[in-house]
Amino acid sequence: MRELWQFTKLIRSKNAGPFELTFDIMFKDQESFNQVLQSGVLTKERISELYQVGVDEVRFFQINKLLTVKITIPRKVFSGDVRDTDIYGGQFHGPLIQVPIPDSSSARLRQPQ
Amino acid sequence: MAAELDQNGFTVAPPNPDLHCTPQSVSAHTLYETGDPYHLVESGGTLDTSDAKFEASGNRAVRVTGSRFLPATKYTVRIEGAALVGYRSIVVAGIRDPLVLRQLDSFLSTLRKVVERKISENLNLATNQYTLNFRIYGRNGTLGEVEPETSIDGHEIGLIIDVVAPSQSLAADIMPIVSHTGLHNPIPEHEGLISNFAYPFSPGGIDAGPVYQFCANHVWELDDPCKPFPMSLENV
Repeated sequence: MRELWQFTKLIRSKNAGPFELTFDIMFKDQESFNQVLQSGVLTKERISELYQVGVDEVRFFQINKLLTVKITIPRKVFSGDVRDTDIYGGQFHGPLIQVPIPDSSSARLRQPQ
Repeated sequence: MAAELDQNGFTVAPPNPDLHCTPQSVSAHTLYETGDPYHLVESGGTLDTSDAKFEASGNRAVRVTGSRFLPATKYTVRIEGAALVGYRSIVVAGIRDPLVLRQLDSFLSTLRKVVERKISENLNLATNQYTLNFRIYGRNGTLGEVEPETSIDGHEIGLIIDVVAPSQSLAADIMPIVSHTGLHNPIPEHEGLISNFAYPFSPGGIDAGPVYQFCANHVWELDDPCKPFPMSLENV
């Protein structure tokens, strides 16, 4: 069992305008990209749980050419709101870093190809 | 970066001869601060990068072709605005007492009740006329209500007491009520007067100035582009 950051060269979050947050997850290589996507862990449903937003509010882009997954969600507290904790949204990727990724063999057992 | 544009696309390269860009570094730019990497909505239309091709041109440059601009069917104007919502004062404090930390939620909710009453009695302000926010670094100061890990795992927390009120002087008047009441807010395990907050500065209150919030961020569809922007010519 490894954590998501061990498969990536960059995990970042940032505002996409004042009302949305976007996550860019760039993988080290094709194998890491495939393994994480095949593990079935990095999904709209998981993001919805982690960030307390509706599944249908999660936009998920799998960008094969860049070995990248991009995910965009609405901000529950808008940028600059009196209650905002992170005006530029630069630290919201924190909970993603250590998401556990099952190793390939157990992933294959769970999701026969 | 320097870009050369032509009828079919553009070529970018860094002017610094020690640097170079790659198809990956250039195409990754469609990700940065965008919600959708393929459809970048601007006034007047949308840049569609779905079929964009990013190719190396020599060792340092990248050639980009195949992106399309899809003109909007309606004329649109982007409206953005921010409005003054009040003035902020803050106090920074540390809490190290494990007995306070283990009941931090009830400690702060009791404190909030007491100070709301004092603020109402002394300053004649109702709770809807100001905001009082306890920012708890060491628990969820960074992510707020979205933080999935709700326990305090460390031996101390950093507390920012954050007050926004209708004027700077009112914010500055509220702050000592909160910080002094909180300093001595009792917990059952300690008998006698205690001091719960470690203040790194004296005086502790910091006036942080005016606070603005987004009040408008819209795309406005217009039948007549000039209608909201009346012009008149006068001879002077």
